[in-house]
Amino acid sequence: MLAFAVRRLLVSIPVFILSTFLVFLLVTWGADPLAQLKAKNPPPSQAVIDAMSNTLYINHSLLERYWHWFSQLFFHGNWGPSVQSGTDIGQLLRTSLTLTARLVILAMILAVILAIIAGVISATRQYSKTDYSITLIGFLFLSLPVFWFAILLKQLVVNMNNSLNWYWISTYGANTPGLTGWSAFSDAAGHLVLPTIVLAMSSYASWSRFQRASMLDVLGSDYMRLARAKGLSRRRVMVRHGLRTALIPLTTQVALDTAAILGGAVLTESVFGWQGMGTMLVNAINAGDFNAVLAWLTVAAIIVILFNLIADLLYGVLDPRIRNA
Amino acid sequence: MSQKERRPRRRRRLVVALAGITGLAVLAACSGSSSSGGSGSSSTSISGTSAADTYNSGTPKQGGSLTWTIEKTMDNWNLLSADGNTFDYGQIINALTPSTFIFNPSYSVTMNSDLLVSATETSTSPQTVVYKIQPNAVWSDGTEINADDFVYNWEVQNGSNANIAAASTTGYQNIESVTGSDNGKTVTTVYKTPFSDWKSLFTTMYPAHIAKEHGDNLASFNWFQTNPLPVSGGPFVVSSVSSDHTSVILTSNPKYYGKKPYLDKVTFRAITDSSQEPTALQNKEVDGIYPQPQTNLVTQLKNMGSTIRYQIDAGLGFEHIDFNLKNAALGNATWGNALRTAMFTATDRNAILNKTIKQFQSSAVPLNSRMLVPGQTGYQDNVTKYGLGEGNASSAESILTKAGFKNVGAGKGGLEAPDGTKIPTFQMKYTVGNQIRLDTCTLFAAEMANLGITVAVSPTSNLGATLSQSSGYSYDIVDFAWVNTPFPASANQPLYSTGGGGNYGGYSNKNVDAWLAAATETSNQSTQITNLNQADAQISKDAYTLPLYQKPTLIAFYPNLVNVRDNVTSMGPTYNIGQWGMS
Amino acid sequence: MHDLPSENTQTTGNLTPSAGQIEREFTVKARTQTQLVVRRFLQHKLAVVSVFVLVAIVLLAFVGGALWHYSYTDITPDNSVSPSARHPFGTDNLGYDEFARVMRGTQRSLEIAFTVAILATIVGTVWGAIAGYYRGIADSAMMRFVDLVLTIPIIAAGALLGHHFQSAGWWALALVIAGLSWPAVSRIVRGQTLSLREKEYVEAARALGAKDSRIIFRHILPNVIGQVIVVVTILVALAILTESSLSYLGFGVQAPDTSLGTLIASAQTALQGGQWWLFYFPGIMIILICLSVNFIGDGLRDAFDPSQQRVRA
Repeated sequence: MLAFAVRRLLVSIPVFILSTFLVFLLVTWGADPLAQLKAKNPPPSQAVIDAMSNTLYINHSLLERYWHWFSQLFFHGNWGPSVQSGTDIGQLLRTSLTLTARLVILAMILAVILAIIAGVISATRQYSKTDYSITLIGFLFLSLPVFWFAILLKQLVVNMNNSLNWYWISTYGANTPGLTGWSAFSDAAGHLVLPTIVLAMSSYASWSRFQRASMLDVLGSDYMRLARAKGLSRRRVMVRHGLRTALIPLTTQVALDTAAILGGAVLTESVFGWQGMGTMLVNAINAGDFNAVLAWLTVAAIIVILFNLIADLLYGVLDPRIRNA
Repeated sequence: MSQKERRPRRRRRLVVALAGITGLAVLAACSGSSSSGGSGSSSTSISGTSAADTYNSGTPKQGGSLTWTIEKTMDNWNLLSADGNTFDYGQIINALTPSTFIFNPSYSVTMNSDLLVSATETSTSPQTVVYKIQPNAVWSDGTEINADDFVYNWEVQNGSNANIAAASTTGYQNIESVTGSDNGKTVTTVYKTPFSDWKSLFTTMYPAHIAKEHGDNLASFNWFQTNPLPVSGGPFVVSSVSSDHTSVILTSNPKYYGKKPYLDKVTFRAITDSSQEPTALQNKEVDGIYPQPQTNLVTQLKNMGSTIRYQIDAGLGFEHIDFNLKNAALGNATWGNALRTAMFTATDRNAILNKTIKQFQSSAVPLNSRMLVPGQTGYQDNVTKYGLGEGNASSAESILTKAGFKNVGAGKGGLEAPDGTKIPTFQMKYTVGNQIRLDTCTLFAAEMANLGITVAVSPTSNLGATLSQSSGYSYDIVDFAWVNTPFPASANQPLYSTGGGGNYGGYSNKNVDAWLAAATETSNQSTQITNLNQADAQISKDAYTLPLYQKPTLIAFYPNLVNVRDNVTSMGPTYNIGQWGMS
Repeated sequence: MHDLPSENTQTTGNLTPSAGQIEREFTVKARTQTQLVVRRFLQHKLAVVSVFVLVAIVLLAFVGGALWHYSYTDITPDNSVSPSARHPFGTDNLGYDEFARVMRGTQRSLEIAFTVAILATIVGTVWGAIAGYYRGIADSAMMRFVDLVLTIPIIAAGALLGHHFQSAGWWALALVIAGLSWPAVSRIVRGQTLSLREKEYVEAARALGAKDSRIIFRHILPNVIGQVIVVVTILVALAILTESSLSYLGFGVQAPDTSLGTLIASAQTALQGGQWWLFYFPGIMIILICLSVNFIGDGLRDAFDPSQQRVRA
């Protein structure tokens, strides 16, 4: 098992390095770090533009630039200069990541729990009215534009708060500044409610479909029939044999969906003013902040590759057939 | 474990779930149906009148805290720098830095008597201004506010060090010397070239003694950009800044030399998407907002009824349509003027207003001057007097016909110039995402189509680059805004003078150059106004730009806030933050 | 069990023109296979209803605009009116008829979605088939590249490129989305190809001296069509949602051009401001399109792969 893990980890490293190069190409192609500077009024002198190009190291060949960026980052831990005033990319990344992680992890837990419950109920009651309604709701969330749902939900909650005259659930940002202790915690929780629900719903839809399918797969298998034939109770068969096996594909799917979840977070954060990775990305793109976009995509690549790795390893842990192979 | 027992329960849960979803839709739909106006809320502008200075005035109780909204995260603390010169940052800096003069909501400019005993122009040749500082005026660390501070603020803004990226050097570059006497409590400034708007200088001054701790002028100027002010010369001091710069907490300055501020604490929160501000206000996450008004935003505030108070004013900024005279047709020496005049004559500004800002500001009227706004001394109609902007299509057609144009009117195959040139399709630009400007351009294009002129409307994601045409010719017609100040001469000179910094369309008229220069140099207000109006009238005759309307401003807050009021000058609502309080 | 799907979709008659005797034999069998698929699809009532809904929406989008009494560029004298017989979806503050705008926006969104689906399917299918057929180094290299593209969140790269190519128009946006979504297709096709290339009829064709390209395009690709069609439906829904998301963030279709996403983005405050019709109608249109496309996809999946039906536990 350990050897398997180490082997997979080693394979991930070249994938990661190639991925940074692809991302680098994408960003050089898609962002003009001098755009904002050139747009200044009155236009800055050529000397100022040259100085900026120098700072950003953009007056070099593509490969040189890539190597410069790569070595700065991995040998010196330096993300490079930002063109947004007063911004340190490393620090911005840290605060953004912490905030986004809080949101994403909660949303994933919520979505997984809901998806398992819905998937199991749906599968065990296949073609019942319950199955149809769960399926229908799943399809509805699968077809909802995330931001549209978020705006709707937000307005609903604000109206609710006004009529209850109770303002625990907030609509903007991650916390109210200047609070301490219990009130700060409660306030942060209140800020988490809406974005968590929205982000969870967008993943819940496909995961519940997925869980239903894998549960059906398992329910139809011979060993389930055997277990029932042995005289084990329905509940015991379901949980011990059925659910456990059916969770394996979902676990993998959740890990593989990381990229999509990060994408969903960009939209959710934008609607709820959450100053995390999503906001960071949107600001960086609008500012043509080459290094910040690059940093974002690099971190995203690390996360995705890491989760793919975890998916592989989990698969090994959970599925005895692979473990023993 | 009978299944029959479980079934009904499930169904009920499903019904609840569905009701939840449909209820969502219904409730949200209902939210906008009432239309009662809030008590004390108004969409009739009072800016530039004396009423603006006393709006919502009263005596608040001592103590309390409130949260105010800004629209940008607090990324730069140096308001004097090119990067940091942002209205939203100014809202915080106002509370932390001393200013010699205050720009009031009525457009009057009054001396800050907390800071100064007097400020007088003692001589006109050379122009000399003497400031006497209050003996008790100190920074929050106890250091006296004195001539050193004036010297520092002059040196970093006079353009003498090219590496200091100051937002503007206007006025400061005219100063020959700044000297202190009387233990630094008297400051004498002598000008090498006359500058009539001297009262606009030495606002939001940064502390010289802190600057000294952080190196030379360049180093300290840059240090002020990235570091919150460690001391304050205003009614509040910085207490904390969140790590993501989205909130700044100020607390009352115990060493403040003027009247003690009423509030103990003011929190500034950044909400970067203005459409989310009313919701945050409604959800009591902030106590006041100052967004760009839009129809839906105002309706939402209206629907909140008397729980909040709002005021819409006509601002100092104004929207206008400009021609680019570098276009071969628009800038044609023989028939270009007729073409431009006809186009602006056919432009119906009232129709544009009706479709845009009048939907939330019914009292809005077209603006008839490029130099001044109503409420400023000397405002006069320099636009309709020349037949521009009234949507007079028949008059526009006769101008064209008289000038020898062919195919005048819609559906005749496109307008042709007297010399047979086909009038090309004009590219009209507006800022991406600005709905009101898009609407304006769309209406303008429809009116031009009636003359046989095709106008193609498209957005620019970088208005600055489009205007300055740094990467080549980039627009024929453009819709954007200029912001006037209480100091009209120095603000307008670069916009219409030959080769001026903001003269993007390449306008050039020797008389206009002379009038604008004279207006900037004279210290006589009536001479200044005469010159400005002469220049304005000439630009109308040349049909270079067409002012549309003053950009409305919108302030909204909970009615328990006292002395909070709109200030459409560059100082903004926090100009009197020391007097803010709770009833 | 795992081989079931491929066996069921071994041939899809009309797509494999009968050339030789062997193929004709399959064609006879395949016709019943197609009929089976159609019959199974017709059993999925929601999917059948969805086909009608989708056809109606497509007609509305591409033909409706020409028949309606307002063009999407007409500025009517009615500002901000709620839905009525004259303006079934109401108007915005400029007087644009929202019904005409929604039809036009739907057209643009569908154009983008179909372009994405077609491009991503072609590239992904060919890529996946070649990788799966040749295996070995080609396969590893090609699939590692797919892994690489999949490490980039589609919204992030879409926003970056969408921002950069904003002025180029809707097709640039479609290209960007397609460029980021084909790898998912290629993975599925590769998996199928790997198992198909071992089938007897492929070996037979190879033994008869057929060229690789002929085997791939004549024998392998027609047999993955079932899976591919299902993926296409997912791609259409995904493209619609991605387009609207990017437009909401300000990186998608730009005014004065319009799409469903752009319409919602400009109506963000309309819900709060009481002009609910500007917010709901384009949103509901997106949901309708995606729902029907998803249901059709579900129906097709059931039709091509009936293994998950009638399970008794």
